[in-house]
Amino acid sequence: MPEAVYADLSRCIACHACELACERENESAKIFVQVVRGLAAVPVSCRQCETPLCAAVCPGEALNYRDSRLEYDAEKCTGCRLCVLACPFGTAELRAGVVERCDLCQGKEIPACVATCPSGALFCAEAENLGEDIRTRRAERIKKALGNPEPAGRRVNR
Amino acid sequence: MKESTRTLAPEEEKCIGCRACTSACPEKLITFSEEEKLRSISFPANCSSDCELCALACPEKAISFIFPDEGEKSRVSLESQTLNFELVPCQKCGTAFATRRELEKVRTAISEKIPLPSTGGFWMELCPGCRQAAFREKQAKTIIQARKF
Amino acid sequence: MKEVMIRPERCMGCRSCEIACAVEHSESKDLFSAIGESPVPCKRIYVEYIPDLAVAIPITCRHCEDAPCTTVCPTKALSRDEVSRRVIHSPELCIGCWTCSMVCNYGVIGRQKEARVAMKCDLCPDREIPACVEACPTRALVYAEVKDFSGIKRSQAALKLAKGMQTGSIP
Repeated sequence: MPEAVYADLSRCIACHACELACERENESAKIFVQVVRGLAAVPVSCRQCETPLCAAVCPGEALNYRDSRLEYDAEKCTGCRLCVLACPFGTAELRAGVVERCDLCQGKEIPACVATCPSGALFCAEAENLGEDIRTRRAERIKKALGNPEPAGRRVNR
Repeated sequence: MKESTRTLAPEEEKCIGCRACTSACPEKLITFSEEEKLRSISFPANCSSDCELCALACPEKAISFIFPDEGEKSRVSLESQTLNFELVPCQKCGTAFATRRELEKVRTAISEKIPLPSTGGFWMELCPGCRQAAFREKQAKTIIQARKF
Repeated sequence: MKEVMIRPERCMGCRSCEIACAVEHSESKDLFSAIGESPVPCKRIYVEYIPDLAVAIPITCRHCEDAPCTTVCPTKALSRDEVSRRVIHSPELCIGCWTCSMVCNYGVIGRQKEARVAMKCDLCPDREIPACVEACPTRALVYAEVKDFSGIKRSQAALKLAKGMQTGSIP
């Protein structure tokens, strides 16, 4: 099943713990967090696209989409950087002749960034199930809104 | 022992300027330099290795080898060769980030998967850094909106 | 632009809307044939049951005027149709990055298993009234423009107030 690291943007606090954890686990950080206009913090990493454009452009078959996962064979990589130019999100880099992108910490049970995130913003999920959590939360909100009104002057925190 | 000196013959029409060959050569005989909006890739006059790593690395199969006895017969010059490529600037930050042919090759490959418009505010016109920033900005907009709920 | 408006207090969780939606988006448009189809047809409306409150709430794509999904989509697979004002998805442009699903506040963007692309409510362009609305037995789903829907609610509220005034419960 296709999996990726997703972010609950309402929780990201730009602490950069995920970047540090990723760097410690892998050679360099593959997740990048920045604050936008002082208003929102957003982590960006490889989206694990199901139609990976990076693999489509790779001339040496170093990047291959197989079994719902993107595989990278460094031996076959020629360092042409075409994958870096293909990625719509700018999350692939060529460093020391090797393409660096998030591969969900292959071999680990849980990606380092997800395990580290102190606010619980990052989570691993299958694309199918992404909507489910959101829907349940929203349904509860609507029902509460339609219920008996709260006395004036009190905010309901959700 | 047979002398295996040969000349590298890159085909200018095929070369896309990706400089993969410069990383592939174990002797670092192929070099490149980037200045402002120009990328220059220099191929040596002589190469006495017998590997074919540069040719194998080339995504366009643009490199072939000319041996001295062939060279006299062929019309290819046996001197060092430099290929120059104009670099396309990022539409946002202006950094020159790729050659036109590199981008063409990427466009063609992507178009086999999804149709791409030929121009207009698309990610292909931005350098990878600005693409990441643009993607981040878009997400930031959605969460700023959502907070009002 | 008419949208599927929801009256959750009328929803009894029968999921007729879900079935109707899936059948409408099948090849055969018939329930019994649809079950055997490949790819299996999928619903784009979701009835969420909340155990704590023992209620069911239908959730559909809101076709937002400033939709987060269209904002983040890198290939413009999700876009706003100029004529119908609906948020439409073009599967041939979709690369399955799932950023849309991540930012959708309603979680109504699903995944087509075989094609590996997104799918969501299209307001049944081949029908006069969306399949879900027609299927709902309690009329919890209403196909109306926002102003008309609000108008209905206002009339109901006014009626309640008027009755209250009549019986003297409101001085």
